[in-house]
Amino acid sequence: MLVPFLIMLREGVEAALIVGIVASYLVRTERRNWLFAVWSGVALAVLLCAAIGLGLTIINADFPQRQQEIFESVIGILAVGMLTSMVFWMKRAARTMKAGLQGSIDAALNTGTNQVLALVGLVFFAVSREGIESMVFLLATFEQSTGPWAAVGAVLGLASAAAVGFAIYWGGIKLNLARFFRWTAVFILVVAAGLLASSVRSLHEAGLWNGLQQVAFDWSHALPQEGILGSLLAGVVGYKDTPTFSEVIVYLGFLAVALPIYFFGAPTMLRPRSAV
Amino acid sequence: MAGTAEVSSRARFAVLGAIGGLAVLVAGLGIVAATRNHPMPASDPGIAISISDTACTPSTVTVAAGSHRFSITNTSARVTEWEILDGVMVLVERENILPGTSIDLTPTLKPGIYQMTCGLLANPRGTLTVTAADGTTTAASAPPKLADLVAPTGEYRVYAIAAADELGVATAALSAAIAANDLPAARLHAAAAITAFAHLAPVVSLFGHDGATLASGPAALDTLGKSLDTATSASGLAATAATAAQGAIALGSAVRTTTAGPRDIIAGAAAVVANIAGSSEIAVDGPARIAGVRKVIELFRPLTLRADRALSAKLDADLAAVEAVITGSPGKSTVSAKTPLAALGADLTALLAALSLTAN
Repeated sequence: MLVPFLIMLREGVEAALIVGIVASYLVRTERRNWLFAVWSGVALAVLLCAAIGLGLTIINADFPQRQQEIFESVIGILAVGMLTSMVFWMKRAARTMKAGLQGSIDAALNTGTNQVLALVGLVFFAVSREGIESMVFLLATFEQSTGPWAAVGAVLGLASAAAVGFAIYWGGIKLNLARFFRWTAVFILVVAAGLLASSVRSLHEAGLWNGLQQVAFDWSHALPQEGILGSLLAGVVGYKDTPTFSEVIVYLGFLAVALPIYFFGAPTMLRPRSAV
Repeated sequence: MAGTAEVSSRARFAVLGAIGGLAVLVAGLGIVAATRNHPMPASDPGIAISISDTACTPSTVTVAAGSHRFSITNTSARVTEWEILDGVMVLVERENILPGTSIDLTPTLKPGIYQMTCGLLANPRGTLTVTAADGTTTAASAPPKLADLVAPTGEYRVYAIAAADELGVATAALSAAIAANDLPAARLHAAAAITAFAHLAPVVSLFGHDGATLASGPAALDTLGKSLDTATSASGLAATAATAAQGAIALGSAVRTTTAGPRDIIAGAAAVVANIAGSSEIAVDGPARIAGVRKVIELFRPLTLRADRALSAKLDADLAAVEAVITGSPGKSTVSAKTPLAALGADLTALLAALSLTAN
């Protein structure tokens, strides 16, 4: 029961994180009315994945693993781009607020409707990214298990993942606004680093990227990624117990570039504004 | 709240309609899936492989080229994945196989020799041999394309940089220990430096002057190590050790700026083997130099297997024979090692030809 629980928790948390982050971001930037679109995106993605998974099972088709890996890496890389730009949007919004211009966040984020639509698209694809494979896994679990416990575990895992997503959403809403912008930014960048590393892994599993595939370290005994802590870390920060050099380099490289830019800023980004 | 950012009620109805429609479709599919006959055992029993906590059973599988059904059962205690690998490239993969369950997959395989992952990283990998249609030969041997050489060359670069870094650390520590007149520590660091430098042996000649400082002359690591073994005080060696540390820094930056090509690497490994065979006794760094050669052979093994399977087996066998003689024998005569060394050298030269690297 525990193993399917943890698998679904991990896969689910990866999607729930992005949904929670986007939803709380929309609320914090006074776009609560777009939450309907977010939940619709989630519902559509879940149902579409369910339909595809059931269809594959009914016609007894092989799971298209390679296509799935390509899909995962493309969406992963897009999500990294979106999350990263979100962090910098938030930074700009925080600065406007500090200047005492409450309520003008919208003006600071003058990108308007297109930006919001992109975020809703991100939610849809982030859920689909995890959904199809999870669905096939769930169906195989239902079909092959001798008792009901594996299925119960899997469903509980999904429910827990959804709870994690809601916790992030509520946390994001309750946090003091300035703190929200600062600390969720760091958190989002770490999540993005994990996503980027897992996208590189997916590219390898799709047979497309084969460089630097030596294993950097093997923690599969010390902190197995199928364990409780390992699964949570895998879902949230992209932990792997046997990462390759290319994954480690991408993960650390992303943070090494993004964090300093976030905290110290590229001077050209800051000065023209304060001069206005 | 009003204006452009508002979701119009018409859009809401459209979205809710789509959700409702999909929900009905999923419910229908669910009923079909639940009521259909359970998948009957296919007429082709397929290839059953079970993955335990430590290995695959069977761990060697031979099939004819084409499409085959593999039935993978996880009998271990952990969730696992199963892959067919061509070198480092993933050909076929399934993740999240629960303990006690099995999955079927039906890949189409080309002739060749592949590896199967068997659970944990530490577990030995299985071998999957796919024979060609005539049933007699394995993969149609093909020299690698340029792109195939990129991976092992890049991985060798990583290895060389790591070895150069170890060398830098060890020589700096050596220099410090000598300055402090701490002989036991100096001997330890000298041994570490010699080992790291020996790992680089196949490519060190590419770095000309930067490598030469450490290979010969007054600051040669070898000479320094011998002086330390007999010395009663480190006082006279400070300048030499400092030169060696400087040489290691220069070599470190040369390794980073110059990328050794596949031909340099393999020809360099052959030269290392010839060099050991040419000296009268096995040098103290002999085992480490052979370890450097092993790295080269391992990195190019996937390509070797594809180009010339027999040569790959011979390389592995001759390398093992050399290691059996050399390991633990520094200082002894090379006589007993001559024959395996000559065979290994010939294999490496043949490898250059097999990988079409002899031209220009």
